[in-house]
Amino acid sequence: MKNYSVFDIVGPDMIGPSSSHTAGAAKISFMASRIFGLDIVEVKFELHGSFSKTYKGHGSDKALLAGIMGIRHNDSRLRDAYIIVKGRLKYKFKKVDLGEVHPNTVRITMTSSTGESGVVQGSSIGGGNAIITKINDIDVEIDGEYDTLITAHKDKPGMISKLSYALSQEHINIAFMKVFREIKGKHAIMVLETDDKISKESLKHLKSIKGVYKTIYIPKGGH
Amino acid sequence: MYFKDSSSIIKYCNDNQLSLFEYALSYEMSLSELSKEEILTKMHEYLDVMKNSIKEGLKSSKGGKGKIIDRKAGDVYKSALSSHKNASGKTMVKAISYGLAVMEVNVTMGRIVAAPTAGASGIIPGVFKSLQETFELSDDKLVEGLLVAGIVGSLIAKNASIAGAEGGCQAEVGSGSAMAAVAGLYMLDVDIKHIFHGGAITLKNLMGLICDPVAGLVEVPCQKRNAIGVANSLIAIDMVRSGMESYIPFDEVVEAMKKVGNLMPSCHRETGTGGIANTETGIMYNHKIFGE
Ligand code: SF4
Repeated sequence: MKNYSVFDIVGPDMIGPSSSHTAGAAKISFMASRIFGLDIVEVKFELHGSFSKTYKGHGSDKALLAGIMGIRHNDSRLRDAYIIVKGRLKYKFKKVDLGEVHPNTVRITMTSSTGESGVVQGSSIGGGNAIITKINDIDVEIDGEYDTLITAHKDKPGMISKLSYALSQEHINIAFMKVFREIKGKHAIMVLETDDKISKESLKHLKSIKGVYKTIYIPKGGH
Repeated sequence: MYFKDSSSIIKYCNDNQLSLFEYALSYEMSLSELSKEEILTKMHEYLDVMKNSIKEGLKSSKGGKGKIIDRKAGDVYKSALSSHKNASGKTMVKAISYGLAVMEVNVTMGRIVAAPTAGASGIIPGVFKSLQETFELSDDKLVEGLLVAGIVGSLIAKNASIAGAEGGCQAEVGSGSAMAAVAGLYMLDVDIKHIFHGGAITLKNLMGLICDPVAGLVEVPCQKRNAIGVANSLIAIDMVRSGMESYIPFDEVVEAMKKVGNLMPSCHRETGTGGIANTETGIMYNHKIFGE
């Protein structure tokens, strides 16, 4: 049986009304915008299951828009997302059926000012907790409860040890680490959850490693 | 030091001469690897958010309304300040106005602390502020109480549930009320032997309560359920402080609550399809808000 932290019970502090439909939704899109990493000019939210049925009633639409603009689940500006978004980016909400996924799932397609686009999918799994389940076509599992580093790199021997060595040089302790890939020998995504914050310099350094295409950093959820 | 139930915690505290708060603190330090200062600082922040949501919520005219409900906390609070008599007394009326205030802030997309959930977020702030006023408790004491409330909730989550979707409203409002009652008794220096009677009494009083939100929104009946949650904790605190006990121990009540929750059909577990959600008026609201 699980031992719950007192902060699982008292907390999170959040913008209402619903931990799963509001706070969880904001967390998903916040992480999505971080993962995309570019400045977003257009976004499409495809809502599945309970999200598609009740998103307006619970303010999931505002939460999703807020998260995309970098506003966190406990930031009072969330309520005014529709006002803040004006002139900043184009958005669209669509109800869809994504098949056998968690009932509170959203697929977010983001387009940058340079015309690049990316897709991130995530689910709100209850109590304000959220997980990212897909980045483009690769299945992942990221919950943002730790400081999280995501790397996209070439799937070849030695990459993982190079990256973890580089982190140890920066005195960053890895709590958990997982590697995901689409096709053997092509792209891989590594998700590293760390006990320490990762500085801009460290990120740059990691990115300079040969075979690393991209590094993304998601600071620990707004606690 | 992770224990499965309250009786093992009580024994451990007695053997080691710890208060329930000291136990909660060491539990959290070892589980989350945070320092004492980090934990207390975070709880102080939560307490501030709770107090702010009460303040915001009492300004009823501001911040719009819900999809169904109007904001009423301010009116209830005013009625406690007026020279008229209140049927349940000034202290009680003020306390429920605090609970309503937080709940109404939540509904109108304001900032709250889920405790244990957003739907039941008014209970702990309502009870805590009321006790602070009546007994002149310090904020530090309230922070200790929040940790105690967290431990109570963690026991319920572990052995039953704190989610309406799993265990019905007894698991949400019932648990919030039990957490507030036990924490309240702790803050009033009641001996650890008696503290959990408050938890048992509150849970028993709401045993079997279903989760039936109209149109699936956390508004009706949730707004007023927060008021009963507050009142339930306060009366339990008074009963225990005058020597009453629960004949059935807390741990067994939690187990019973779990079994009752398991027997609940899904229409009574947050799907918005049973209970008052399934009345003529409930269905009318659903259509009005979401269309056919
Ligand atoms: S009725 Fe359901 S949604 Fe409303 S407070 Fe109770 S458990 Fe929460």
